[in-house]
Amino acid sequence: MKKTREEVMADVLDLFHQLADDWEYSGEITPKTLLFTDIGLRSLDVVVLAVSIQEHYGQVLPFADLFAAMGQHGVQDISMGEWVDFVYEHLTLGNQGLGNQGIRELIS
Amino acid sequence: MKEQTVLIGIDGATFSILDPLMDEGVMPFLRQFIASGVRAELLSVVPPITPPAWTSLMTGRSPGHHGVFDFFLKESPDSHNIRFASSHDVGCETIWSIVSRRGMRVTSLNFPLMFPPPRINGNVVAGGWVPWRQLRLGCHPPDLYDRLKALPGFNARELAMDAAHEEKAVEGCQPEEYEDWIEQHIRREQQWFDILRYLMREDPCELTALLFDGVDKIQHLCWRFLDPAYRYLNERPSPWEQRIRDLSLQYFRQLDQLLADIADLTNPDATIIMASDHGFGAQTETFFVNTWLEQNGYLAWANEASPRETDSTKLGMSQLARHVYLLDWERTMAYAPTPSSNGIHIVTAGHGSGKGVSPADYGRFRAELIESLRQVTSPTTGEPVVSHIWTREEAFDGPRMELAPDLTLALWDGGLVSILASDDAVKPRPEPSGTHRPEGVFMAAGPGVRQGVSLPHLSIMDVAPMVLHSLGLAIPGDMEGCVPTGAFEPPWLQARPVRATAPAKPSEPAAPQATVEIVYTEEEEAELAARLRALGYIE
Repeated sequence: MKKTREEVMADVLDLFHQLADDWEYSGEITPKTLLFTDIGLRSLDVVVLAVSIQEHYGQVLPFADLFAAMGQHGVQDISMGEWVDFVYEHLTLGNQGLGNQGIRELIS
Repeated sequence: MKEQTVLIGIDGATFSILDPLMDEGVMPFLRQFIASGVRAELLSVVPPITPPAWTSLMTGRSPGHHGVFDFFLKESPDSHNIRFASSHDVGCETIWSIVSRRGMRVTSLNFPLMFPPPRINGNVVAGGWVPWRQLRLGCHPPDLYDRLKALPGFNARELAMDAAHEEKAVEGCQPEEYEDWIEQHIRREQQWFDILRYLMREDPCELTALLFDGVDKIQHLCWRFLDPAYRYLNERPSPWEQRIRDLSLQYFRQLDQLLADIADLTNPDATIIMASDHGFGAQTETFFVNTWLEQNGYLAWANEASPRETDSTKLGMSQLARHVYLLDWERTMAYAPTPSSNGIHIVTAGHGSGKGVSPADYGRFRAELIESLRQVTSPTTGEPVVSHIWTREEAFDGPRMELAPDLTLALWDGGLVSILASDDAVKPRPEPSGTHRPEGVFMAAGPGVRQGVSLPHLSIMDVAPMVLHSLGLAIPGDMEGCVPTGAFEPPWLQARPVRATAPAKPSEPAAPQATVEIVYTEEEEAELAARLRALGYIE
């Protein structure tokens, strides 16, 4: 089954919409919504959501690499669109994940 | 329902606290329960911490087989990155799954490593580090969360994990925070009981299990108010100290009442088993292991001028995963990534980033490191700080040991290491805090169980076979634990002998192969690269 970026976005938005009522978050969730600033998630929330997304797609995704890179570069937040991009990117490559070199090769 | 077993987990429970509380009348039900059944010390695994220990209890297997060594796992044997351990990482079948597969129903509440929840025949609410915002995703079947949400008093924020809140158990908190913190755990245990009662009434299962985890948290923070060795030293407690002590006892008094209430909900001919994942004792010093590794030339910080931790009680729970960029991988040979498992990883050459230790030199390097660690002494006692060191093969022999630490330390006071940079490698703590010990508790009562008997120590891996046997099920041949036959009256055991069966099913692999395929346009690739660059994920 082929998945487009839009379909991955729809999947991830669906997951967030399922949970938004529990969070009592009434704002609209769009690709520009920031997970920490706008929704108020904490680091552990994002880590656990990552596990759920892997469960949904039945595939290990290298979120640990992403979180490490964000920490190293002092990136304080991530938007829904960026989150989806990361998932979309790695769903192509099976269980191995990309790593920095792999991503450079893919996009070169 | 012919058979019924109730398994109650009491995280961190130790007889060194429970016995005095029973003697003082704080826990009358527990005293009566033990008199009507058996008790034993329950020896935990290495390291005696929540994730590997409860996983061993749930599977009857050792960490080298089930693959859970800590709250976290290395991303791969060659990676420095760590990630949260999840149910996907449990490499052996749990009792929930075995019982379910044999046609019985199961309720499992608040056990760690159960997120995402397994799709068993019954109900699961995952425990451990599942934040309240994701608790819905930790429930099975999917409609369970909405049913629980409708219960009077349901409060997801207090029921589930709040990492910043829970961190205070080991990192400490301000005096004015203690009361709220303890009271929240009292309310939390009540909520778990309310859920258990609802499910036992609405959907009675052959196996019902609940983990109360507040004992561990209260003992970490309030050890000096609970351990008789400390509380009697303070003959004139301040009003605040007296309040905290009273509140800590109130927690245990309430726990005792909840245990009694669970027994009331249970069939009279059911088996009730209580167990903890590890015991508890006092930690009086902090070993800043990464600082010691730095001082001895095994580790280098990327920024050596960065501030050092001055608080001797801080272990670094809030600094997890930062080693990836805080360390200089060109000069680091060994490091501890987490304060929760006392594990040291050796950087091996040819893998990941950095220079590391060559495979040919690994044995010599590791032996030298072990010898050096044995020489570390306490500034207060002059005695060795490290009381035991296990190599990976000694502690985690099994098919999954490649993700385990190369070395695992036991400290003389049973304490957890700090991973932070400090000026001194070993510092006394201003006040003792609670920390883990290998000796947990086992208590059981029910059909055929002897009464008023204290057994020699058992292994935590014996609990899973005990649960299966109590339900009349055969024991998978590959379980490392054994049914504690000494717990039963001989005639009863003769009529109901322990039966072995084929090995348990392996757990699901971490994740199946990719099931989706993505195709990019050139524009999408360019846009993607820009976004990932902005995140720091590519350079």
